[in-house]
Amino acid sequence: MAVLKIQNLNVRYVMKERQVLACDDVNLEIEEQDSIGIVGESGSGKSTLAMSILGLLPKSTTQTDGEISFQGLNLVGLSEAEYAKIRWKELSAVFQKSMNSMSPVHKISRQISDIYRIHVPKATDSECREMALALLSKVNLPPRVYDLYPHQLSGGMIQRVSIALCLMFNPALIILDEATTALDVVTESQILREIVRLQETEKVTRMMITHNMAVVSSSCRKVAVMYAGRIMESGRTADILKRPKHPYTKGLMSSFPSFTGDRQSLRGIPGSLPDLSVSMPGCVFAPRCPHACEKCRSQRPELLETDPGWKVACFFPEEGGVS
Amino acid sequence: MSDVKMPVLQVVDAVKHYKQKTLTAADGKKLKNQVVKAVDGVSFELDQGEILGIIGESGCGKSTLGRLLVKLEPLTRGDIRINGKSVCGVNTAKKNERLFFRRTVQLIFQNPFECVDPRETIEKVLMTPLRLHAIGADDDERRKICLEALETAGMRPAEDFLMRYPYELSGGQLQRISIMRSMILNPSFIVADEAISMLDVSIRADILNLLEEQTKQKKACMVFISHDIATTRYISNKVAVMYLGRIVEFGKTDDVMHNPIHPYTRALISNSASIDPEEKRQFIDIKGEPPSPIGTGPGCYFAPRCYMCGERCSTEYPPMTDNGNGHCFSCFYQKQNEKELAQ
Repeated sequence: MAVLKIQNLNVRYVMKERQVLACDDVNLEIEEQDSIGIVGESGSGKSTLAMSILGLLPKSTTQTDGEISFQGLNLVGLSEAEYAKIRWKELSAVFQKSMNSMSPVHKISRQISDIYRIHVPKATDSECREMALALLSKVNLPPRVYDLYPHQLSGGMIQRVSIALCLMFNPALIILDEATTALDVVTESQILREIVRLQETEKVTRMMITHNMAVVSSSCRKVAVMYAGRIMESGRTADILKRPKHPYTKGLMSSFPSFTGDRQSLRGIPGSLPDLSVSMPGCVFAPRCPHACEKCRSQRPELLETDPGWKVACFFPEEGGVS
Repeated sequence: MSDVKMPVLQVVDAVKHYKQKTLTAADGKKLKNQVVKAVDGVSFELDQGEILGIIGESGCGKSTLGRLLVKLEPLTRGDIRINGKSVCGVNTAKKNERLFFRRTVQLIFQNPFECVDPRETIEKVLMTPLRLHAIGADDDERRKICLEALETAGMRPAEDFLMRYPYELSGGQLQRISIMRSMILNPSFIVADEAISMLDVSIRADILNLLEEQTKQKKACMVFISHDIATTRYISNKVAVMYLGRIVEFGKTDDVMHNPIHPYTRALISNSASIDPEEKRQFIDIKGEPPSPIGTGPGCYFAPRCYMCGERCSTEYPPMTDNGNGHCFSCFYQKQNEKELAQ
């Protein structure tokens, strides 16, 4: 059964003069114990998608339609009180700069037990301590971290604390929004392996939001590529990264310098993101696409299944894959 | 003129120490008069048209080195020579000397929005350096140079861009302008400090290609500072790996990337994520986080985290050794490493 099912999700940022469509008809499903990576450049709507699942978008300036069904519960339009019941317990998140999401004046111990007491209000101090130490050991942190302040920890350790926090109640889904982006190479790789290991031992379902293909490649089983608020291609990581079908995915892949093999020349994608406040009748990628034709500019390609479990939003998926 | 080829850039034992009056150690003790060894004895040479990539974790001193090279910070010790002439004697308070120095050396920063005046048009941004250095006879000629530069950077039609303001451009476009602003002075040496880190992946490639092409064309040399190993591999001819203010390995890009000898380089390369999902790799784990560059030594700086640290490592710093083809490293156990590689 799918843990999370997003159907026809539209998220609009409403301003005085214009509206920006940040998520445009997004359909996505996450199975239990699965891992999905959402990749895209900045402004592609991947963080908006995460925020709309977590219910963190400001209600006064955003307009959300569609359905986000999370374990049978529709998250769109859910009240703050109802969200409070599932946050941390069923749904939790790790953000990029954990340094900023922790209180600098409270010890880690206090911050862990505070969250624990949201859902277990009558927990005693010794219970909290026991739980916190078990949690820290899950993410390979020494027990001394319990009595430290966030500024005494390095970036990698703080990120581990954040991951520990989101695992506290064994939530049904964790969302990692650029959780490893600000880290150094060695620390990033350690944290990624930690996350993959936890997936096996703790049976977590996770959604990784990143702009880095390499992160998805080393830690996710499935991937969805987003561009200008729409999902361009989704399917198994091994398939998509090996033989991308959508021209945008292809372009993105050839923009990443490879580490092994030949130093083939890098090619970028010419042009830049379209203005999302102007509605486009055709494919959003058409202005930058090397294979775009009349049909692409006037009709919108649907996200259709070309192979089992592999969906592409392009009229000419095969041509995109040839060149 | 002598026939002996003169390297464009020579760095001889560059040292930058910052003094700190009081410092709180990890255990809460206050330490007095500590020295932060940000750059601690770095030497290398660069020839015309060469690109040197400097990689390392944050806090290893790569950006400080970049700032030293363009004299944004004074050296504590050592010497930097450009075209054979020491830059330490250049007095940047004197206008003539400063102008001459700035014309030979240019810097490209990470965030282009922070290095242009938001109230100036692109025309003014590009014309100011030309005017300052009296390039071109009059403004018409200078405008022509600017238009040409914009065309080379792939920004067409160039006339359209001249009248725009920085906020009307995307990050990638503005980064091109900041590159061209440096390049129209025909510098002999450029430092690019994380020049593509904040750009989107799909435009990074074009900026990289522009940087490489311009460096080759203007016969300059470039120091490319980055934490992204795959990008550095793509653009550079030579690579230097830094750890706590020192270069631990230096050599041709392919040598260093495919046959890394220093344990730190090997760990760094084995941990950098690849986009190939089927690639099976062996991770070399290093313990802990990089320590602070205070009170390092006397042994190898990497020894506390090294997986093959021996007795000698904690008593003396391994000297830089060359294995014949310009591939240098500072580790006592290179023989052992090479043997492992051969297997």
